[in-house]
Amino acid sequence: MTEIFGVPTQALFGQLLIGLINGSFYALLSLGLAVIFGLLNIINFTHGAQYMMGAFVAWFLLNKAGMGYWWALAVAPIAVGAFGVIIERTMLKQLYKLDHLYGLLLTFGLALIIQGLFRNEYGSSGLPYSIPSQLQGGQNLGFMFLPNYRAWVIVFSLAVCLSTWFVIEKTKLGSYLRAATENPELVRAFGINVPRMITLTYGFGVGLAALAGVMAAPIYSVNPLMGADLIIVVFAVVVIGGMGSIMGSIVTGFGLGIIEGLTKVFYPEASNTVIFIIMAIVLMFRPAGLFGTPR
Amino acid sequence: MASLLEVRGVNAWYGESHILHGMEFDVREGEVVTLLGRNGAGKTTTLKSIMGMVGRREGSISFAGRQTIRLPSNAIARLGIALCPEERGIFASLNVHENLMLPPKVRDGGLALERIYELFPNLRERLASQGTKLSGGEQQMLAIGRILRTGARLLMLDDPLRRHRRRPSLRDGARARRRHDPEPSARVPHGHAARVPRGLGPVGTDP
Repeated sequence: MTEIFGVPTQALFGQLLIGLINGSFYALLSLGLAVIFGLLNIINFTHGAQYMMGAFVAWFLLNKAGMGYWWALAVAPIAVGAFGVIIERTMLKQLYKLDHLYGLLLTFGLALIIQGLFRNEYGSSGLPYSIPSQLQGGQNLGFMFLPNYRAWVIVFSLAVCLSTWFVIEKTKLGSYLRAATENPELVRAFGINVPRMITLTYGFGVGLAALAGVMAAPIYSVNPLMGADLIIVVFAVVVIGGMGSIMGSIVTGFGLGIIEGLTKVFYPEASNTVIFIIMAIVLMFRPAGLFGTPR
Repeated sequence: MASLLEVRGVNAWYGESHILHGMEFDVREGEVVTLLGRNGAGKTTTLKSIMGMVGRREGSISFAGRQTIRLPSNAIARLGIALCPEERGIFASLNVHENLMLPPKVRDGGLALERIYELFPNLRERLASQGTKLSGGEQQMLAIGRILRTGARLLMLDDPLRRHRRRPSLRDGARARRRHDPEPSARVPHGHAARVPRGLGPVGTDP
């Protein structure tokens, strides 16, 4: 059996793949958080619960409406995004003039309520969701076995992340978003409906979380606490990347997923803490994050 | 001639502090009106009130026959009023071209990009630069250039020559704009008398 640094290549590439998969979810979730924080100045603690809701909507669609994975991929982000729009219009909107802390408290409280309701209804054991038939099976790459669904998750989330980056950094719509992040009053005085843009941005960020939830459903089980476990790591990713930085959240999301995977190979004891150790080091030397600019 | 802008009995507040007390003046089509006053007199607040950018305002502001006192600033801008703010408001996360193209066209008859580059050639050379990397004078050109594009009928320039009294390029730009403008709009530049360049055209304060 071939080895690299005394580690069998099978194990190395296997963990690298798991790292990339986790990284895909870190990137999608931290991207949504970054987009929301940029424009709304709110740290969306409900993000994990909204990710979980995405997975549950996929499960509902399959079991109550007979609509499969591909439908869920389109419907769940829209449905959960619409739920986000309602939250923004009715609650978050009241908080923009207050300190960040209030937004954090409100969204954290909402997350607890939503998770509590789902747990009451579905318990905390997972519900099964199978891989769509088109993506079952896998490829033998010679050095490792690559399941098709996992390859799909990596490629698709990378595509979604890069498209989001492109829209924000390179298009007219994105220039409105960036400008409104800096000076919303002036952008509004140019004739742009900034409040509506804020609402839709929150809906979009939430939709990204739900999309990640749908993609996660066949890999992890669909369970009410799936978001709560993940969101803590995602916040560490966001802190490392720099709050509000779009490319930062994508690069650190995938990067930290890979680092976590490699740690599992070389020093498994540290694999659960490595991200937090990196976070502590980054905070010491670059408090605004690797890609962030101090504000 | 009927007034384009009619300001009547306007009161405005920032939080608890009452800034404007019964402001009244008119601007007619094609006219240049200058607001004069010492620091803190409320010149900027007057412009922001017209634009709908203060927390609370009362009274009557009608523009082209439409009452705007209850409209949000984005709706007011769409009627054809544009503001060049005192602090210029150039966006750091946008390049020069994006800054220039940011305000949407609200009416036909704005200056074409080519004309703006003729007035402010510096801008053309720096289109890909970050907006705030321009010099102060160039940022002022950008702040004025971007609202000339929109076709707004009323341009409000908040202290446009601040700190640039000796920059001939900007003054020339302002003059050129007057000479070539096929359909002159009204403007409310504001600042101290000494800061208003000669040759800008009819300048007056309203009684």
